[in-house]
Amino acid sequence: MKEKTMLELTETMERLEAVAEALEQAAERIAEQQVALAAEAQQSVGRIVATVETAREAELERRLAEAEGQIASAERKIAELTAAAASPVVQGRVTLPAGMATMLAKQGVALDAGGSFPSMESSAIDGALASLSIEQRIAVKSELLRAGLMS
Amino acid sequence: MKEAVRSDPASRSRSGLDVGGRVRRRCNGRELRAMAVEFPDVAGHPNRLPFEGCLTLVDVPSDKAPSGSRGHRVVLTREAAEAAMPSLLGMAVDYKAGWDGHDARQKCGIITAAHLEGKKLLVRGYLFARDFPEFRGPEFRGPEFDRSQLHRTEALTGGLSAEAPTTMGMSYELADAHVADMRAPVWTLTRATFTGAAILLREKAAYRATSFHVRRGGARSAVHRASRVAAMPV
Repeated sequence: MKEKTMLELTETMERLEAVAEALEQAAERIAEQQVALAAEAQQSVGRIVATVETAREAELERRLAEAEGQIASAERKIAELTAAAASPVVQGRVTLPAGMATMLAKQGVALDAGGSFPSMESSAIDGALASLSIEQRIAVKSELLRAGLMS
Repeated sequence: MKEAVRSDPASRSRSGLDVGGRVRRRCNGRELRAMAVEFPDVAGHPNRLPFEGCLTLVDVPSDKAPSGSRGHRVVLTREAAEAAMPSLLGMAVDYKAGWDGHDARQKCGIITAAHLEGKKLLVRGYLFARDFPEFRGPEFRGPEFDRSQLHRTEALTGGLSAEAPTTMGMSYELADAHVADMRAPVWTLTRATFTGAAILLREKAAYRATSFHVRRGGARSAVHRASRVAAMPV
């Protein structure tokens, strides 16, 4: 009986020791987290100017962001077109990509029966593409040039 | 621009400035604090127009969130302002077309003296009046003292009368500002470096209580006497 009680007490002590150790580890982790949070809260700011940001500045910033987006988009297109221009030009009548053909058809440029376009002058295309944005016009004309459909 | 900080003992005893231009004296239980860079006196200098103004307030939240503070209003602590005061001397003042902000490429003057008076960080310096004639306008004129009043006022306030009836104010530019708690609704700046200041419409400043005006007597001595320091309770 005594032996059983002793065993139970020993087991209980061991469990308590384990729990105490776990608590100590948890407390250490919490302390480390608090230090990290305090360090995170204390930061340096590179530049502070004691002026109220004006609506004009906000507008300029917005427009700058828009312009940067447009430039990035244009650069991507230029890269695509450069890559396309590097590919060998196929001679003769060439069928344009479906998307390009649809865009041209919407602008009133007639398709041949085979879904291809006759070769045409640059000036003739300009009128047809007048409603497109400059980037779209560049893309269409580059595609036509690549396909050998525009002189 | 050549600085002439007095460093010889005789000059220091006369001017009260140490090598760094700092004044720390005790007088009737009150500490006098100021910093200044002394320039040689050039009577009638055509391109030196003295100015004075209140650059900012210490231990007071800004009325609006300054640019760069991510929408938080800020408090510049007195300790931070005092520690940063040496960085203010020799910095330029600039202005922007429209008087609504900073333009670091339009430097129109220099800060030569600064001190704390109550909650106000007051500065003095010179504008390059010949290069920037726009500062001759009436909107920049401060209180019109006669000579005797001016001397009496300077004796009492260190020559930095904080009250200016003009609509113009000032704005600081800080670098490496240390924020005590970025999550706080109002940022407390505990450390910073002044990198410049701007002259602008008071309503465009984050602190509405700033002021700026040119001083009378552009031909007066350019030397800031150490006796002209404000008494500040310790």
